[in-house]
Amino acid sequence: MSYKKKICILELGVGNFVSIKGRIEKLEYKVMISDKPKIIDNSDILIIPGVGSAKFLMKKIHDKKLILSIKKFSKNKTKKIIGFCAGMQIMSKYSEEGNVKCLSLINSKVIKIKTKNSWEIPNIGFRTILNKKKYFKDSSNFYFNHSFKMIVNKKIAAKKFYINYLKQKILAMFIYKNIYGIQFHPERSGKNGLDLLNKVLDN
Amino acid sequence: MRIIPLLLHKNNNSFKGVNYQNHIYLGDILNQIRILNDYEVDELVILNIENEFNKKENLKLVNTLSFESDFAISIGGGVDNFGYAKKILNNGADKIILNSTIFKNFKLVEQISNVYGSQAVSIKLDVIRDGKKFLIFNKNEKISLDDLIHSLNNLNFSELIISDVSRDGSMKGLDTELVEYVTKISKKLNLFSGGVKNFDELKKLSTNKKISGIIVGTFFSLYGNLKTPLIHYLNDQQKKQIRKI
Repeated sequence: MSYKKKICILELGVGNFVSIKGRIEKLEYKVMISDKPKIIDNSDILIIPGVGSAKFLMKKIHDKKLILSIKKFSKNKTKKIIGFCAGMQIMSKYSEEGNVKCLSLINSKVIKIKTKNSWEIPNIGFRTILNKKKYFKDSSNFYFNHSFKMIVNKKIAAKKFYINYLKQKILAMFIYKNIYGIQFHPERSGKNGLDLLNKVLDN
Repeated sequence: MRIIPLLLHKNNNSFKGVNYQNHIYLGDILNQIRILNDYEVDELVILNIENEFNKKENLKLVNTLSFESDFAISIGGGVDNFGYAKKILNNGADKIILNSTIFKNFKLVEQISNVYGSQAVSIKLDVIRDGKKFLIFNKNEKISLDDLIHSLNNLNFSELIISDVSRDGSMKGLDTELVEYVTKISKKLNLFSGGVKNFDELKKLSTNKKISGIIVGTFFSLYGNLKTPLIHYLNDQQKKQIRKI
């Protein structure tokens, strides 16, 4: 059996870590859920789960004194850090959701999705990735559930993948060095989600 | 538009009824989840229908179901305080469904949204038609649906689930007047349940941009003309037509 990387899901007291753990274990990885710097340090991959407001997630990270551990981890190019949904959004410099300063792992900001009608937001349901490339199969649809979107600074050389929602291009995923941000929920996207998760973890 | 199966459960088993009564046993709920994983459903709504239940046991079940499911799950039934809502979400539910609780406690909606985001909160209203009017019954009090929706429009949550008690389990089709009435005044994502007849109806409803989702019980729980208890869902072709992808 080939070597499987050690994965740590950041324990922030909120979020979808139960479902993420379930899907990753299905892929036969060993997963820990922890907020202990030692365990984080010893992992190959750190996952910041979503479900939760940016303000609340950042408060938890400050309260648990995890800022330095996360930043140190993200700077180690042999490791990989992955954020899901709100976990991706707090990788930005700033989020409009609670007007909060975030982790600044990537030069980006998070703003509310503007729509003509209030009943069009949040963006919930399966959407198709526009530019598929190697991470996505021909018919890759993923489950989204969010009201805010991330805008990455144009000067940043990140790989970016988008969906089209109400004629707006919305960032669905980015890869910037060893930092992966996923706006949708692969853990809630059936077989496509598992396939993508496997590619991202194994890459 | 999302098409969302509905599972009612008590004691780890799932059921389906008519007009919220006469529940038919469908099977072990964990087994139903595994079947729905194979169908790759959009989402799932799970409601606890026990009058009184052990909250600790219910949380264990939420955790197990969340761990097993490849799709998002919304959990409802008996959610009456922030502490319990928090535990349900921390045990893996993607969304929480509040119902009659909100009559007494609008604050609960804000409390949950502030921590988990408004996308994690849905409110379900059980509606009864009274002639031309639509009413909500809360204990002995009758509340006009119109009044309630206007109040709810100001709260910080995402999905309004309108459940038609009169048509529940009837497979007569959704009450189109109720759909029109709600979509005119609601500022939230609108989901409807109660009476879905067949795929053609779902396809037709999917052209209405103001409907975010349809929650389906009987049509997906009882199979064919003999109405055999057997959970099922749309096939890939049908999913494509509804999602328009």
